[in-house]
Amino acid sequence: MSIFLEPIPMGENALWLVLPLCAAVGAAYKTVRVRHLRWLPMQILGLWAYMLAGLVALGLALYLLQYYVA
Amino acid sequence: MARRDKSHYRAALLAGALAWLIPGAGHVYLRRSARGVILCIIIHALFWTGVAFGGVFTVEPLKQRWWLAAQVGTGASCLATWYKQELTRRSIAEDLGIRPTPPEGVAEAQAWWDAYTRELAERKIALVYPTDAVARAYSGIAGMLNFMCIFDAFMLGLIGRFGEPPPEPAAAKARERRAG
Repeated sequence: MSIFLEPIPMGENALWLVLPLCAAVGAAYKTVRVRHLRWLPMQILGLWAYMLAGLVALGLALYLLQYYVA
Repeated sequence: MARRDKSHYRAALLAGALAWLIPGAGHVYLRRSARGVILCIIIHALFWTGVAFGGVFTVEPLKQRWWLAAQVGTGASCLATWYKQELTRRSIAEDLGIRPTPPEGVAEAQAWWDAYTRELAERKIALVYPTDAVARAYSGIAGMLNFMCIFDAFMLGLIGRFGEPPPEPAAAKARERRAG
């Protein structure tokens, strides 16, 4: 298998790849926004936690919606 | 004053263009080198991880134009992947004896897609769920993040803000210390 040419097969565990994706989004956003770079690691960590909490809450809300309404 | 505004406009355009071509380069040009290097690493890592997951057809101008519009934000990396994808598609079409792009008619286009996707599957380079979603999300979000960086570099250049922000005044520092 040659990387960058053939796709890598994935299963249902691909959902975990949202964790590094959120971390990268938080890091890029905070790198642009933060006033001093020494605050960057904590700001990234905080935003990452916010994003994950938001995604979990959204997933839970949609699950409950389809469980009780649909 | 007018001359300074014009030079700011030129700096803004240059910063924006550099930020598009090489993610992070706009910030390096604006003397925010540490931020530029961090952005360069993050955006390239995200884009190339997506391409590593999805292969050469992660950038797909025929059927995934919205994702392509997002991926184009990564500049040279996206153009290089697009070029490689074009070469691969043309080589497959040549081997099959078909045109490199789908023909106009509905039936002809369907036949073209059938032959083309069958060949992709045989060569094991067809991009299918869930790999396609992950690969395009990674590379597309990298491009969208770089659009944000391009905007930031352009605006910083426009207002003539070179270098890192100055240290805060003593009063603000003291307030911050009190707040913990």
